[in-house]
Amino acid sequence: MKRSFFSLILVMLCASFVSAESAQVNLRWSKSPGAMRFVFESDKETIRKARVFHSQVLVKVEFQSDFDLSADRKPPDIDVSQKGRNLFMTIKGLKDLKVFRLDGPDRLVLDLIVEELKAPEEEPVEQEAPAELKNRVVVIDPGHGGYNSGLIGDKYKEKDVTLAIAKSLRYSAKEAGASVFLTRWSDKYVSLDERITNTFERGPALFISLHLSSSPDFVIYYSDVDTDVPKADKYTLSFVQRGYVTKSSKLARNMASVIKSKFKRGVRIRKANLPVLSSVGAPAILIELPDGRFFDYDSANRYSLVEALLKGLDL
Amino acid sequence: MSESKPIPYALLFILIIMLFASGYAFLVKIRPPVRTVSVEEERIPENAAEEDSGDKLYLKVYYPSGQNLSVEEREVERVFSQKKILKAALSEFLKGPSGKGSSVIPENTVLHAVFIGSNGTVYINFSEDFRRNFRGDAIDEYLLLKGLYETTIWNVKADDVKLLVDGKEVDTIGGHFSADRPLKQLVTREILFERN
Repeated sequence: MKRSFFSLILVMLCASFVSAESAQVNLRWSKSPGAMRFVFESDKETIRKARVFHSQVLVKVEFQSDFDLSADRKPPDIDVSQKGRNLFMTIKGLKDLKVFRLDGPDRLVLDLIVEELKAPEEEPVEQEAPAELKNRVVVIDPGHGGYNSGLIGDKYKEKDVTLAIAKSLRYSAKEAGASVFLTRWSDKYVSLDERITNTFERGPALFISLHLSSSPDFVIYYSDVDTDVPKADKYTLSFVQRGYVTKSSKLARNMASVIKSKFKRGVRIRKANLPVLSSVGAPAILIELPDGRFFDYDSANRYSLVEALLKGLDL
Repeated sequence: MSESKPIPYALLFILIIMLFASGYAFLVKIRPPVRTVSVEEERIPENAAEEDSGDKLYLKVYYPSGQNLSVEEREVERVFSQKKILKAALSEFLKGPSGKGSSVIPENTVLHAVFIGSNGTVYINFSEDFRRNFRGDAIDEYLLLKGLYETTIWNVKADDVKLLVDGKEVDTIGGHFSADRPLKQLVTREILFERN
């Protein structure tokens, strides 16, 4: 009797220790002109309950319990320290902070806009236009996937066409010397937020999202600055993206010109702050290829299409 | 025999403390949190559609049409509850535009419920068909959401519209625009067309 009683106490003690165990928090960061992104990865509960406070020089992340912090590398120019359940980041001239949470895996993402890194608002600093993209990073976003099929025709689904073309484009771009990443590799749904975050973390030189149009024409979207909306949100261009407006416009026009001469088809250019174009931190376009009712996606046409897209990307 | 009694009492005391500690750990730290969304329902203020007299109610319904919205006036049996007016307007919206031709309104969509949040946001809860059966490109999706927003705010007085699918927030309806936040911020930004 006594033995089982002590066993019971031991089990309960273990349960208490397990519940009080420190959470593992992994920190990653990336930097781009005008912004830094910090990504904290941990279990769902830790991420959900973490609270973020900030002043002009300090960001405090308060976790619900003690935690073990690990980081792949130390962020430059920022002092990171841990005290109990709190993580402090000392930053000079912090102008703005955006916080959002993602799952699969669970992450807390902080976007820091810092005065010292920021480009002047009136005259955004443009990245050097690349004569070629050898050794540069390109992210290709095949639209839709999983339950989200996109447009469906007699012989095709948009999610399959975009993935096939993205893979062919990746192959050709790699041949040309670029490092190429896809936001999805299989028939799986990836949320818009995940596409944006994964792209930003790659620090790409170019971003292209592939979709189909419900018209016979090609349609190319790029983002512009909302001047009439003071509050930043998902449809307002992020500060980091403002530096790429002119380059995105140039990319859209270059792509339109190449496609027009190659396929002798209508190409429409539209300005819209689509979420995937709003904060990837690179010149970005979303291109809608013609509907399968008007354009045969056979291997010959797909080859021509990939060739045109590659040329349009200035590779 | 009597000297051994204090030990069981001490153990019993420890047992009680440990039970409380374990219970706390289970409730606060181990058990996954129950996430509830509370939506406060309230009477929708007077609106343009209710000003009509007689047995009929005239609603305005906005549909995607090419690269713009078109508006249709629909005549329905008069209802007096603002919630019923909104339901009637959304039911007309889901029927699609009159006349022949294709429509991007997702087929077989069922309107589960409408609510008004305390912040003046209308919550519209559609069936999963609204997302699953949408077939369109970026401009179609934009106009679908804009048409839904315009139809709502014309027929009842509301500040914003929040879309739910089977009672849940969804990332997107058609894969181009976010649907996990109220629609006003999206639909008040125009898509600009360039000639080239």
